[in-house]
Amino acid sequence: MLVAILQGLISGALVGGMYATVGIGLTLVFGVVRIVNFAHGSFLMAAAYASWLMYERYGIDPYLSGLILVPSFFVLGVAYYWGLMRPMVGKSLLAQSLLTIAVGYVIDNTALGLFSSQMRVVAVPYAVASLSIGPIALPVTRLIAGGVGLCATTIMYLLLWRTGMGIAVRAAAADRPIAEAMGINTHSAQAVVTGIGIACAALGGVVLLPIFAASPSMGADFTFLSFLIIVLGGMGSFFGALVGGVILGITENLGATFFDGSTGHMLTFVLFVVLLVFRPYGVLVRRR
Amino acid sequence: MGGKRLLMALAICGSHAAWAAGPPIELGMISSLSGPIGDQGSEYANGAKLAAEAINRDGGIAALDHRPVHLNVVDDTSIPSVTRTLAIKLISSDKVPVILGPFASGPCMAAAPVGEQQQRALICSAASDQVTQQGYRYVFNRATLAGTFTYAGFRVLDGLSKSSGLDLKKVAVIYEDGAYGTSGNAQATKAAADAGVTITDRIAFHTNTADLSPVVNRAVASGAKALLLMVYTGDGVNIVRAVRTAKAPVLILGSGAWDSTMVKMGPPADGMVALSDWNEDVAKPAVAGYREAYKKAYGDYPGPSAAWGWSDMYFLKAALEEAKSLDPKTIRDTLAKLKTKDDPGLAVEPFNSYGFDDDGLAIGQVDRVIATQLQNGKFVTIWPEAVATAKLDTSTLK
Repeated sequence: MLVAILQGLISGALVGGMYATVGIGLTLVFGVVRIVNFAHGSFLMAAAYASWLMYERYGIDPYLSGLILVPSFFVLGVAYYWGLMRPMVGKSLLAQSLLTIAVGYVIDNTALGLFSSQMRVVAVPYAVASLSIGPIALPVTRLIAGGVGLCATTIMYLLLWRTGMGIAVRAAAADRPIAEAMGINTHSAQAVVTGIGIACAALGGVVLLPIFAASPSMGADFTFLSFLIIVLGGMGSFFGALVGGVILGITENLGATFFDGSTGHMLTFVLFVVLLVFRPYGVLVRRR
Repeated sequence: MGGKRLLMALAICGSHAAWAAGPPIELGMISSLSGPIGDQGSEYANGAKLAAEAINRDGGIAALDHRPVHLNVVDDTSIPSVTRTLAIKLISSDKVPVILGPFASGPCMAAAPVGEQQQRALICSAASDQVTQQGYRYVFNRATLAGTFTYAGFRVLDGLSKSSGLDLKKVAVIYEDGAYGTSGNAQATKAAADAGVTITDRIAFHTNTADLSPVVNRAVASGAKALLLMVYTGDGVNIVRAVRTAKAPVLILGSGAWDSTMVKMGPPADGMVALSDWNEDVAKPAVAGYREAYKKAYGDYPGPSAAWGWSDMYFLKAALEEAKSLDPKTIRDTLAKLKTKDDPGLAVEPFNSYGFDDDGLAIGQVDRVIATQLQNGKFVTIWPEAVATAKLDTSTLK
């Protein structure tokens, strides 16, 4: 029993770190650009497919493909901001949402057309490797995913709180007119943040590929998951994304260990409701 | 090489000249050539087209003055509303006497009322049993039902226990908590009792759960020697990886629908057993020639769906021969009564008889199911012995 609980807690925390990698990009874009990017999971899916394609065609390890894909998706994210999101800054929530939902649909259906609905997997030897600590087995891919989540959160913190660019970005998020009056190009700052957000989604896709089978519908699943995480952690708070991810991961894992299907799954949402009742702005945000 | 081709072409032309005695018989075919099930739907159509070409080479429909057959194939893009429109078009505008297809449960359910109202027989392919539970007279379902695989799974475990000498009759059922998994699980008690198999645990999970290792750990801890999975492909991948990560010595029994994905997983998937109703190595003499003919025509070797298309087209030919008419009602009545054995269509299938029961469902459901195992990156047939080409590899069970 104790072993099962420990296994559930540790595995859940690792899965949570993996979720945080996915959620952090979404919370970053919302926190600074103030647009909810419903296409976030679709970018993750596109990166997973790109990583699979590089593995399948050229034998490039999925983790190594991240060295190419993460910067590429950063550029794509910047272009996404200038081309589609910028005209929507300051517009109604409905208009913003419809635009990003439409972009998500376009990406998902393009993947469906190009790759069909067949699941795509990579046959990397470490997909079933694990480290054992006593009776607890930790899959290597989840250790990496959890570690990447922690690193991504720390880097985001350092970038936003310890650099000049971070000050500009936070100023643009806090009060755009004042920031512009101070000579900050707020649109450039927001474009960079969108690029980082999409790069985080790509990082999530790359890290998830050795764990999950890629499919065109995985984008929608991860967009939903990202929302749960960032609402739990607090919209716009990237440490909140990490905490939200870990809470979700542990609940899901312990739920699957001790309860059947729907009951275990329901636990996640019960916890979600309870936490929001007592912390309506998220676990790490006191008030807005 | 060129001369050889010419001679072959001449031989074919010659045979056409000897047989052809009228305009082609226009038959309808609705399949999903694009969209989510486009891969399998295209294979299904290709199998039927290949059979139609072979039928025409061999003299068309003898009972109808050796007229050749022509398949009017339309693509419903995997969207049921499109299927319905295409069914109306084929019946009202193109006046086809019978329709092969649609290919999947959703499209079949959409087209079935059209066939019934317009009194035009559909030979559709739906894993759901709902299609033939509506009391339709003009709708036939050629598929092996999803529930049949659950039932057959326990028989397979009983058979493999006997043939391997291993005790595989303690089974944990792992199922997704949606309609597919729960309906399969509901049949498990009776199926297990009939096969003399003990269910050690039944574990439901929500599809797309990120970490399924708790589910696998619980199943293994229940004392199970085999895991019967009623899950979708993505979850199947996660479960196989979790079993191999835990190095659990259990037999994984999954679905043949995952075959191509499991092959791509590489060595971790080796040893898993898949339930199917066709495999490329089925031990029948005609299978090798059929596979090569398909590859020559379409560039790739055929999958199960292509074999279905092939055997369905031959069954339709047999019905036209028997009906000696293109009257839709006569064709429907013939399809309802006809039972074929050992014709060229069945020569590539693991079963030996074809026809429909009173509800319009393909006969011999459980007997259609075969078990294949992934051995060294390739699925080989291991059960039943009559069509098996290999024995159960037990290396992952130690």
